[in-house]
Amino acid sequence: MKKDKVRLTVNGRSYEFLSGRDFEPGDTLSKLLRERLGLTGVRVSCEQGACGACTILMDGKSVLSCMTLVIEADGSEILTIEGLNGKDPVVDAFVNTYGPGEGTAMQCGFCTPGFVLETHALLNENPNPSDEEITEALSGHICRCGCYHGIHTAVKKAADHICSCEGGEQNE
Amino acid sequence: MNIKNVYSAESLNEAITLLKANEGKAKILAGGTDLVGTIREKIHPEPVEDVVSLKALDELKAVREGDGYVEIGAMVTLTELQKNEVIRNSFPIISEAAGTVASPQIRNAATIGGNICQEPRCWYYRYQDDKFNCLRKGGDRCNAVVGNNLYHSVFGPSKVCQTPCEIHCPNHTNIPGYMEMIRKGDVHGAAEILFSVNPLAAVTGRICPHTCEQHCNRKKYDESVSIREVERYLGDYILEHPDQFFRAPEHGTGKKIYIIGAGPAGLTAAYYLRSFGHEVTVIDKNEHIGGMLYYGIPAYRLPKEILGRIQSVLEGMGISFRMNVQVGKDIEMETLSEEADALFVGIGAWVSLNLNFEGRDAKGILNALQLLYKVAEHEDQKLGKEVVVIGGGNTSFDVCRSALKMGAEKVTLLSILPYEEMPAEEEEITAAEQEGVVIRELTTLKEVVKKPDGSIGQLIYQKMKKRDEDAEGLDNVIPEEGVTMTDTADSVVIAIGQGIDMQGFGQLQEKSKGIDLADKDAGKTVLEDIFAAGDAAHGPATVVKSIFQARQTAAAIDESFRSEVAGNVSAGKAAISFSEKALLNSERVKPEELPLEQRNLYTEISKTIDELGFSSEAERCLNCGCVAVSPSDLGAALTALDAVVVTTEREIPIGEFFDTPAGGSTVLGGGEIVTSIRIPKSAALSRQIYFKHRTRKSIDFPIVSIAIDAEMEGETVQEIRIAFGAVSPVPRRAYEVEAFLKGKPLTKETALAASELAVRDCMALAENEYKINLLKVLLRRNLERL
Amino acid sequence: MSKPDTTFIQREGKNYLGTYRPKIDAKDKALGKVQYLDDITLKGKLPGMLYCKILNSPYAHAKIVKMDTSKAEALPGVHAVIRCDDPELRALGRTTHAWTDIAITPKESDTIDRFWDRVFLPSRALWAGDQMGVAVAAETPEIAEEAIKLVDIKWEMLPPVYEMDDAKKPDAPIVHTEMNPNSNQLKHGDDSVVDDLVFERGDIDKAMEDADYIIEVEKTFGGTSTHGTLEYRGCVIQWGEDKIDVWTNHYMADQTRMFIHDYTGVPLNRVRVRNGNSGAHMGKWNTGEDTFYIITAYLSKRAGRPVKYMMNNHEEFHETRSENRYKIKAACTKDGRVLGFDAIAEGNTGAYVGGCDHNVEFIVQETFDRIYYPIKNVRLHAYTWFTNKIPGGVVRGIGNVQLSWAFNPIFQRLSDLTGIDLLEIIRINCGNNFNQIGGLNTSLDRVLTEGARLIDWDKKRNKTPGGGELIDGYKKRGVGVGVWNQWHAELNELTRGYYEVSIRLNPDMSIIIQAPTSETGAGGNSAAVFACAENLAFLNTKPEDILWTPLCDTELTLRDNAPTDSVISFLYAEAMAEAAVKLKAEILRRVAEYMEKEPEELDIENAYVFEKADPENRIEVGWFMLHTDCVPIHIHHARHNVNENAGLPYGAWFVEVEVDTEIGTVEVLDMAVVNDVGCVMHASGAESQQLGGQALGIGEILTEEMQYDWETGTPLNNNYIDYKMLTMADFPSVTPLLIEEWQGLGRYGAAGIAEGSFCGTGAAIANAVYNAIGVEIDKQPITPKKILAGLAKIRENDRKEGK
Repeated sequence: MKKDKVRLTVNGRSYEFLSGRDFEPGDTLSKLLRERLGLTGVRVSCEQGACGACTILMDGKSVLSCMTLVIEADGSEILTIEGLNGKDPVVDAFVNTYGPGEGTAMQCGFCTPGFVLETHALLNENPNPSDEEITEALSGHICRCGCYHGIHTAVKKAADHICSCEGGEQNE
Repeated sequence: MNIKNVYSAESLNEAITLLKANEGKAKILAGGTDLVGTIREKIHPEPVEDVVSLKALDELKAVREGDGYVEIGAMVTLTELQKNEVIRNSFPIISEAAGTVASPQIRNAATIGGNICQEPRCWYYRYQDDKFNCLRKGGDRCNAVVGNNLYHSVFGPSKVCQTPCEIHCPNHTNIPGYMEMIRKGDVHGAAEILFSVNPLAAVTGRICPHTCEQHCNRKKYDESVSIREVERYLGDYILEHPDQFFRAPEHGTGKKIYIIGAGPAGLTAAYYLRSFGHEVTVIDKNEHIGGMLYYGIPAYRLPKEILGRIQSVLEGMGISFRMNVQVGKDIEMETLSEEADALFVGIGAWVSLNLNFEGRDAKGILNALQLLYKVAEHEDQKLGKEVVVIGGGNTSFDVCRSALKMGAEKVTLLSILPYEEMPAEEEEITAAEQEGVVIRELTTLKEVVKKPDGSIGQLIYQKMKKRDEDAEGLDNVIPEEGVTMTDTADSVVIAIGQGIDMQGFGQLQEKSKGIDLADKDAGKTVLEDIFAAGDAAHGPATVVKSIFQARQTAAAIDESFRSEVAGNVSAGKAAISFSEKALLNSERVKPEELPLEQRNLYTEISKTIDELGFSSEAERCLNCGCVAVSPSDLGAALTALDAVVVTTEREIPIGEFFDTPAGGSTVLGGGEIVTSIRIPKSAALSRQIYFKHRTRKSIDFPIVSIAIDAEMEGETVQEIRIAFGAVSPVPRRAYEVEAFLKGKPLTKETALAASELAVRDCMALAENEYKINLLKVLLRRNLERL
Repeated sequence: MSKPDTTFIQREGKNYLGTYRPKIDAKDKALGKVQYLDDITLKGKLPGMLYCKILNSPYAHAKIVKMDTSKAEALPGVHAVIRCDDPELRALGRTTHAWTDIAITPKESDTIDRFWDRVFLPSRALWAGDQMGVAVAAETPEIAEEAIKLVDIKWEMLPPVYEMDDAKKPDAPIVHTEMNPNSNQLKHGDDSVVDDLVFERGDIDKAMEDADYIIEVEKTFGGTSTHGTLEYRGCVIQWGEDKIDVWTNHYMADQTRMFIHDYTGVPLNRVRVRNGNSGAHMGKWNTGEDTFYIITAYLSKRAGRPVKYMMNNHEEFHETRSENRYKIKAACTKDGRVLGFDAIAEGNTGAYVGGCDHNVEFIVQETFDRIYYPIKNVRLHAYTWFTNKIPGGVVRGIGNVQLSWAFNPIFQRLSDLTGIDLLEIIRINCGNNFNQIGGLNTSLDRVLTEGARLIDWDKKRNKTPGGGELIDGYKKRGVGVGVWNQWHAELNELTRGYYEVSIRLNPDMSIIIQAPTSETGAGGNSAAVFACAENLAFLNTKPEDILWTPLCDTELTLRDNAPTDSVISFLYAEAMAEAAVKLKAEILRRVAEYMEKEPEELDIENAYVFEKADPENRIEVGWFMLHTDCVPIHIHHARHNVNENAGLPYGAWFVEVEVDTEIGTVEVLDMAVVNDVGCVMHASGAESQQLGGQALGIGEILTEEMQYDWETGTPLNNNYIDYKMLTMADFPSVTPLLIEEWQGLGRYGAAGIAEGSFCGTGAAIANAVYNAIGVEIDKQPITPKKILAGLAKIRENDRKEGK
């Protein structure tokens, strides 16, 4: 049947959107989140699924919101970068990666929300990822400033932090 | 993106009905990672209006283990394929292949069904706003064949749909089909393809206006393929081997059919109806067969012996001819109709259209057919030194060139239309000008001032001009007020087209025009069992149109003889080929022609091209197909596993699933949905490898991919299946290589030999030769890993 | 193998500047709080905003003969249409999009007229994608796009020309008939140039006679790569009654204001331009202003509403790195000296001038002073040709990347001929016109030595090119080096003129500074904060106490400073050092008045003003402010750079590659990037540039390549799937090392690092490939096809020599 009502929870708050009022049938999830909810941390760039800037979490999994129609997200739980705060271990790790040889986890910052959320998706499923697993999980994101070293280091820091909090064994 | 409706299908049936309700404009949304891109970039000419999401159909998301097979739901995501235990254990090649697709987020959404149905990634196909509208989307040509083909097929193109030359041949001749036969050295096979739709190829090979050549894609690079000259060579070949073509039928049907009119329509109908066992008699009012071919076209263009030979080969089939019998005068149509089971009327258009102007009745003014008839009958016709011909079509140029050969010294052609809009063939216009004809465009004859003895004194011409610079056609031409010129002439010939003489066929007449057809395609007239085709039925047109109409009408006459309109070759998968020489610039073959001074009325000016010219011209044909590759990783892996694609309508072996129709990449019909993929467990051999080569280690599509499914006994290959991705229009099974390897020890040498065998049939385009070396090296390395 | 420890140790101990610490905006960026142009100008925030779409020419070279815009104008939702024959637009005359070297050059004053090759909405298209013909403003992007398609145009096709060698032929189609009807060559810098000889030094002909060897190279770089930033160019302009409001992601609001003022006639104080963060720069803003600004402005004037123009991902392929070809003859001696270069520098600038001509004239001359100064005899001929390709613009490392690719191989060949190690050859022949003239340049020596150690040069470098052993039967490894000078030091920034900062000390001792710049990622903002804290030690100020405001606003903030090459980092550090002195003097003046002392009698330490003669007599600065007038103390300071030469430091790039000799692919196994920058402003930020730059540096060599359809001149892969930029999976292990050997001018004496962070990468990879398999690649990028062709040629030569 024609879907003209979509229920979503975004960053903990539930919404009900009506086709024609809040979105047009052809609208993507990224457009709804940015223009209807003002969540400008959802960044749209390549519009072809090749840069990862529009990544959000849908039911814990990383999804390209610019390649997903609003309709497809019905009944799901969405997390955008606005759903995290400064104390979030991944955000904290991205902020505090600046040591010798690490560079920084961001420069211009345009792609950073995508990388942070992808890291959450990875750690949700694999709290203690190897170097290869981290690289594989984040290989769908482009950072033209080239902060791949810093980002990789930040993910490892976040993983160690999460493991140590939950009493998991230390990740050598 | 302006999509009108997005549906979330609650059931497969609902999805099917939604897709069928707006076919062509309704698309399936599986993962969306391909579809959303195509809609946003508007790569297809018509917009997508309805999107039917299958996301709610949970029954398509299961991985089930049956006895002896594993069934993967079409909506299973690639991430799921990577992780699913059943898949990882029995078909690691599927997990491996799924894991190489694009990136993790894409794999979270993309489904196995979507992956094998994805559209090509060729950058001409995918260009935003359909700028190139290439052949694979129903356009004219593949821009990659001679354009930028860095990532394209190294195993030649694949047929997509009718090519421009086929489309613009009124008889839909399968031109690329017979050109390919010639390149394979099978002249007989080529002749058969042509003969199947055109028994008069020796005629059309000489006088057809060849609209096919105007639309040949090669024209955009250097010169179009000289198709008519190739058809002429085949036409002569057919007449030289009548026993292999004009064969008498094994058994008769006892039906008797009269063909009235031995013109191109009549002769064509006669051949087909006879070939199906009917007793066929051709009746014609003239002495010689051919109609316009004999009396309307001068011998220097179409020698009379050819018509003679056609008559003898037709008689050889058992067709009898009753000449000099005029229906309506020597015999009534009704009597013929009673004697025969069916009548075919092909009486052509013999009445020269008149042009009235002041002084029309002056002596020395005649119509085109009068002159050409006399020329054909070798009767003398005094035209004098200065001849003015009114017209612009092929017949008017026949008159001009004949007049010169009859001793006229100054021949002027008046065309009411501008030079570039004259309907005659380019070759005829150029030949006429070379022979001395002067063409005055945008000019008509306003008045003839007669001499006292009634003969032509002075001619007064009226200058015309185009009303609108950009528009074309007769109604866009108006007189230029007050601008007239004068000229002198000994005779004036009016050649402005033909009308139909319905004398003797009154009951068939449609008001003032030709034969009244109740059913145009079948050529049925208003009277029972009387059929008609050619100029008389469909209006004056070209010879090749008459042949096509006659062929269709013959089919209608004989219910059992359903002649497929050859040429609409089923699209796709028929891997076709072209010669590497086609990629080089080259000039079209030019037939030898008599020097100007030796040209006369009764010797054919041009000669049939020789065998070398014939085969090299066929090499220039690009055999327009699509050289995009199938980028599907799962496609290659499933092909190596002999999987079966289960849809809402049928079960399709993977080997027959992929195709290259316009706008798609599978054999699926409108509203047909892939529900699951079934892989026989027996296919799961012990060693499975999926190797994907691409520029980057993520996001990119494969440049070359290799899927190997093998059973080893120590060093020896007990059983092996190999498939390649991204190297040909559809995933490619390497059957020969498999056969070569089976039972052999897998040493370095056998691996090398196998890899060379794999690329034996490869053909490089300008930019992608490196892919051949890549395929060879990667296959060898992966075999060595077994 | 664990990485060697390359922790940076400062030459002069400092608390905040030059240390490892987080970027000041790291949290805002990680939390997505930072706003880019599209975020600031969402439709909700600017109701009534319209969207502009400009026609992209479908043809590479064609002229509009007739245009009917009636259907477009009638389309519901279309508010304004501007045509190429619009009198108001035509009256604006010509403009330029050439590299302005940060100078704000008003239209009236004489700029380089030979670069004025553009008009707004031309009727002639000069490349397939040229923004021309017609522009519309409509209520949604979809309606705007639809309207453009409804414009009915009758085109006259013109013959295209794409390559330099065709463009220079006498019968070649002329691209810019209005500039020179008989030739595609761009005029030279100054009219006195005779037969294209633009520069000469010493006696090159004599050097050629004295030479033991004459080495000839022909190297081409450019025309195939582009910026590839994730945020696209754009602006929103509202031309009201007598005021123009502009939001843009251009990297210099002040420059945009001047451009709009020039072409609208609205006084500067009524053109308000706001920019802020931009999603990476990579050089795209260096070529001044795009014509879309003015077209958008006039659409806004006509429609009476704000109009938003944003490029889409295809339009962002608006410029490539300029395509330059260098044919160089080098006169060399047995003892490894280069006596002279006889160079022909050519540029294929494509449809319009951007940065290409600079790479054949003045940047080449700079090179002969900045890195090849020891090479006494030089002669330079230069040509720049117009063609119908995408215009050659400025991409990060403009000219320098091309020149290091071209000159580096000469030293390699000289090393082959003389047997002297390449590093030694470089040490002998490189230096600048100031530091250690005639001797060994210590900065160059140190970066070469440290880099060689990090990459393990002595062990891994094959003695003879291609001499390494075959690994797994088909792989060969090699190590290579590329050097270049750092730049954007004090002297190079004179053209900026005055730039300004302000420090505002609040009564609770918290500080707000203005050091305005569009934050493109280079981190100038962090350095400004650290420098301020460094110089306010006397108030115990810490970086966390200082607020930096990201938005530049030509109405409310100081004049912003273009963030090229992280140069902002030290420009603002120098300014902060001087501003801090002023702040101290102002505090002393006010407290002295309160303490009825003379300022000279007082001093400040640990945030206390005290009487020098009687240190016990002291007042806490914070207490003083809170209990007197509670008014913040505001200091404004403007400075410009010192017009003095201090030479330049150097960088070295070392790479280890592995070549698959059967399929021709190249993989970077390891990399060391060593940069001497005189004084590091922010160790984490600088190392991030050393690492991050390699994404573009390596991408341009191994994965990124623009593909054209030559029949129609259409760029085929102008999208982010088929234009292949490095992902994390493709990024090699890179070791950064910062060095402070050279000493620049000013309080800190630094040089830039960001723009030049991969000047030597291309040259190093090419050198490493040569060391691995003995194949020299002449034209970037290094593709499998070129590797295999090179190997085939070697096998052919070996066969001929009976090897």
